Amino acid sequence: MHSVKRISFRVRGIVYTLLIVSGMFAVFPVIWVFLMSTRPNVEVFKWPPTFFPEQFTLEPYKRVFRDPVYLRFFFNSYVVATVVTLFTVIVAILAGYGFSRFNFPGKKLFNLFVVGTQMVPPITLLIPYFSMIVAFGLFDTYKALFLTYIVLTLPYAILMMTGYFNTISKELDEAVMIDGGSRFYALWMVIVPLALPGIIATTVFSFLLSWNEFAFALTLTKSTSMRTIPVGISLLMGQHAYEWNVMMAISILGSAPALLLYLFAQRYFLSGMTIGAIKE
Amino acid sequence: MALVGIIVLGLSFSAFAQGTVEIEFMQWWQPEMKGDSFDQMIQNFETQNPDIKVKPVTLPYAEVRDQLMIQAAGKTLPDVVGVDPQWMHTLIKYGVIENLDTYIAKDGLDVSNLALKKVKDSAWIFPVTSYIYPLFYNIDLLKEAGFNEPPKTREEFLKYARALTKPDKGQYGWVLPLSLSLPNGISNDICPWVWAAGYDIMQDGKPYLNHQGVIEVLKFVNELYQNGFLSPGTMGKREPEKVEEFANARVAMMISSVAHINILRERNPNLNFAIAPIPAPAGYDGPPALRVASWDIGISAASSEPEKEAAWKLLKYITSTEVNAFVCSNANAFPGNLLAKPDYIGGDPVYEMAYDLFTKADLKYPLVGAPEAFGLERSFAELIHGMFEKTKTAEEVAAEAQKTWEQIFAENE
Amino acid sequence: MGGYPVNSYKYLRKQFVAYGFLAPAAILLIVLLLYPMILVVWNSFLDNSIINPTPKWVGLRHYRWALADTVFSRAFRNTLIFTISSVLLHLSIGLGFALLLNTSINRRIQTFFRVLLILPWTFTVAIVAIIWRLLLDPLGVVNFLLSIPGFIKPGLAWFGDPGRAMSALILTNTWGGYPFIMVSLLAGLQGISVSLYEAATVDGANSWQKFLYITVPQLKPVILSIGLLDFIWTYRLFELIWLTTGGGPGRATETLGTYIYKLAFTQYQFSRASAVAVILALTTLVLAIFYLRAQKASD
Repeated sequence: MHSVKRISFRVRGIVYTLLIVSGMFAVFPVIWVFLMSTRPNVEVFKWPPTFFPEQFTLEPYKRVFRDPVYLRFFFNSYVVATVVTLFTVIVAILAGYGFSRFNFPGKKLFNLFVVGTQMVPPITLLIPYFSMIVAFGLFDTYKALFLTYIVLTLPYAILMMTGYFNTISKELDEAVMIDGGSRFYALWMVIVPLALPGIIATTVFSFLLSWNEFAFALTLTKSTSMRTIPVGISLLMGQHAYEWNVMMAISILGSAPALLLYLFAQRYFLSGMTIGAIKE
Repeated sequence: MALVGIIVLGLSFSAFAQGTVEIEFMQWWQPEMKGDSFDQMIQNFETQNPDIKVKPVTLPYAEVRDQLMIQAAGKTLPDVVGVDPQWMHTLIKYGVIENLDTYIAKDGLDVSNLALKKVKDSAWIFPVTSYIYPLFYNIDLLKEAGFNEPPKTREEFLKYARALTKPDKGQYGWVLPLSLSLPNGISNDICPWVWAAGYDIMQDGKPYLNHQGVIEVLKFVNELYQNGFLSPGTMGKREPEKVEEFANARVAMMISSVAHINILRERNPNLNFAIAPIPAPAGYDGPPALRVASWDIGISAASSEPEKEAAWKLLKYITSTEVNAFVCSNANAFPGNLLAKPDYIGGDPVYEMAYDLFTKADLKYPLVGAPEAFGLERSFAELIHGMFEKTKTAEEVAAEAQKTWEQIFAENE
Repeated sequence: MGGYPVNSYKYLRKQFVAYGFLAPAAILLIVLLLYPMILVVWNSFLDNSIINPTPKWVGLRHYRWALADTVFSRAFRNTLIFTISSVLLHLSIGLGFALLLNTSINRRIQTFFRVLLILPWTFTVAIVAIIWRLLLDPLGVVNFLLSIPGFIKPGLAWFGDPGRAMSALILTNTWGGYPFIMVSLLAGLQGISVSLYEAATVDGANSWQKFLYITVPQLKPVILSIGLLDFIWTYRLFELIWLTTGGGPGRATETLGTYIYKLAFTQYQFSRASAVAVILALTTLVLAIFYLRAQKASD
C-alpha cells in the first residue's frame, strides 16, 4: 500500500531488520547450494564444514555448459513450461470468468469436480495416465508433457482466477455491456487488467510447477533428448555415487529462469493499484 | 504396367524385410562407466551387426525398478533391460522378461563360464558385472589407534570400533546406513556379518531369519549402536552418504562395494585405505563369504520376434569374453564372464586385493529370487530401528522379521 | 443479476455463453483427469489391477483392510500432524513476509527482497530434499552452527531420529512451500483498496486496528482459498517426504502419500493403493465442502 503519510524511520528500521532475518532463512540454504556447487565433491562432506571451498572450482558449471545433453534438458524445460503456462492461464481466465459471473445448471457439480481433482494424489494417477498417453500415441513427446502439466495446474489456476474475479465488481462488466460491448470484450479489456496481480501469481505458479515436476516427466519420456531438468538432476544420482557439485550447479542454473520470470512479474505487484475505485 | 508394380512392391517389401531392426536398451550403466565407453561399446556392436540399431535409454538407478514395472504395464518396455538380480522374482512373476533357456539351447551356447543366477532352474538374465562388498578400513586412522592390521574377528571389530570412535573429532568407528527409503543397508551392511559366520538368511528359497546366526549379528550391531560407535544418523542414512563419510575420514571402517574404490580415489587421493574380508566370530574357520551385487541383462518378453533376436545378439555380445572385460575395466567391476580379464588388474593395488578376495570367497547374492526385495529389506530395517530404540529385543526382531518375510513370500506366490 | 424468466430465449443464451467460457477447461479436465480418476476408483474395487490381467470384483474388501490396518492409522495421524503444522506455518510466514514486502520502502530494496524470498520455490523437490538432508546431516552445517554457542552437541540426528524426523520434515516443507503462499497473499494485498486505509486514517485508526479491521477481512477470501488448497496439497504430499525420510525412521514420518506409493510400487498392490487414495480423497472432500460454503459466503 502506498501510504499517503511517510513511514516513520523507526518502522522502516524494523521492517528492514525483519526482512534481513527472513531473507537469511530463505537464502541460507541457497547460498549453501551455491557454495557446494563450486567445490570438489569430497569437500561436500567435510567435518568441520568449511564455508569457503578449499579448492574453488567452476568445473561443475563448465561441465553443464559444455554438454549438449544438459543444454537440451534446459531447452526442453523452457519449451514445456512456457507453452503450459500460456495455455493454462488463458483457459483458466475463461473458466474463472465463467464461474465468477454466471450461474448455470451444473455449476456446483463442476466446481466440486475442479476442487475434487486436487484431492487425488498424483502418484495414483501415474499409471492410468501413463496408459492413456500411450494409447493416444503421445508417449515420449512434448505433447504428453504439455497435456499432463496443463491438467495438473489448471484446477488450481481456475480456483484462483475465480477468487480474484470475485473481488472485482460485476458492475464493471455491466458498464461495458451497457455501452454495447460483449462479455468477451469486457473480460479481456477491463477485468483482466484489473486482476493482473492474481493472473501474474497464477502464471508464476504454472511455470514453476512445470519447470520443477519430476515423476510424470520421468515416466512419460524415454529418450534422453526429451528429458527435462529435474530428470537430468536425478540422473546424476548414480548407483554408486552422487555428483553433488554438478547437481547443485544445475539447480542454481535451473532456478535462474524462474527467478527472472518472477523478477519481471513482480513489477506488476505495484503498490497503489486502486482496484476498488469503482467499488466506492 | 502391373508387372512393374508388382516387382517394385516385391523389391520394396524385401528391402523392408532386410531393413534394420531397432532395439532399445534400458539401463543405468552409461553414467557409471568411464567417459563414453558405454557409447563406444554400443557403436562397436552396431558396426559388427549392421542390421541392428541400438537406442540406449538411460535412467537413474533409483528409478529403474519402478520404471520397469510401469513401462511393462504400458507395453512400452525397451527390448533389452538392465536388471538387478534382486528384482528377478517380480519380473518373472509378471512375465516381464524372457526365459533364456530356449535361446541358449538353440545356439548351443556354452554358458559354463557365466556366473548365471538361476531361478526355478532356468536362466532369465545374463551377468554383466559383479561387485563384491568387502570391509574397507582407513589405514592411517587404524595406525593412530594402535592397530597395524584390520580386525579379523567380530570381537576384535568391536574393540577397534571402540578405539576408533572420537566424537570430539567427528570420527567414528563404523557406519551403518539403514534409511527406510533406501534400505539396502540390510543386504550390504548387515547380512555380510551373517554370512561371514557361515549362516544364511534364506534356506531352500524360503526366509530363514529366526536363528542364532541372525540374532547374534543383531545383538552385535545393537551393541555398536548403543555404545555410539556408529556414525550418527543411522536410521536416516543412505549408502552414498556412507561412502562420502569414509572418504572424508569421518569413519574408520565401512563395508562397501568395490565400485567405490574409484570414487574414493577421486574424492580423496590422499586417503590411505585397504580392504579385508568381513570378520567372522572367533573360532570360525569356514571360507570367507562376501556379498555380491551385479549388473545383469535380460530380454523383454513383450518385444517382437526380430527385436528379441537382435536383443539376444546384444546379450551375447556384452557377455562375450573381450567385451565383458572392456565393460568391467570401465565400470571398475568384476566380470560376469569368469574368463574375462579386465585390465585394471595390475593397476590399483586395492583392486588386486579385491580380485584376490573375489576368486577365493564364497559369493553371496542376497534375495535373488525372493519377492519384493525392497519390501523385505524395508520391513527388516524398520524392526531393527525398533531394536535401536529399545522397543524390541534382538530375538523379537528376528522372530517378527521371519513372520513378516513369510507373509510377504506368501502374498506373492 | 438480471431476473430473466427461466424459459426465455435470453436466459438460454446466457447459459450458452457461460458454457462457452467453461468449455475449454471442461473438455481438458474431463478427458484427461476424470477418466484416470474413475479408473483409480474402479481399481480399488478389484482384487488387484494393472498387474493381474484378469482382476475380480471384490467390493469393499480393500477399504475394510485399510481401516483395520495399523500402519494406515499411524499414517493418517502423521498426515494430519504434518499437514496442519505445515499449513499454519506456511500461512503465518507467508502472511508475515507478504506484509513486509508490501510496505513502502525503497523500491529497489523491496524488489530485491521480493525476489530473494521467492528462492525456495525455484528448486525442484529432489534438490530441496537433498539440500536439507545435507544441512541437517548429523555432522552438517546446521549442527555445526548450533554447536558453536553450545546449543547442541554435533552428531545430533534430525532425519535419522524418530523423535525429530517429523520436525525436520515440517521445517523442510515450510521452507520449500511458503513462497507460494507469500506470492498469493501479496497479490491479494495489492487488491485492497488504498482508499479504505485512507478513510481509516481519517477516522483515527492506528496500524494494528487497520490490520485487524481492513487487511484481515479483505484478505479473508484469499487466505481461505489458499489455506485450503495448501491443506489439500500437503495432505497428499509424497515426493518430499519420500526423498528425505522414506516414511521413517520406523513409521515416524509415514504419511498417506508415502503409504500409497509403497503399496503401489513396492508391494505392487495397486488396488489397495487405490483404495487408500480414495479414502484420502474422501476425507479431503469434507474440507472441500467447507471451502465451497466459504466461497459462497463471499460471493
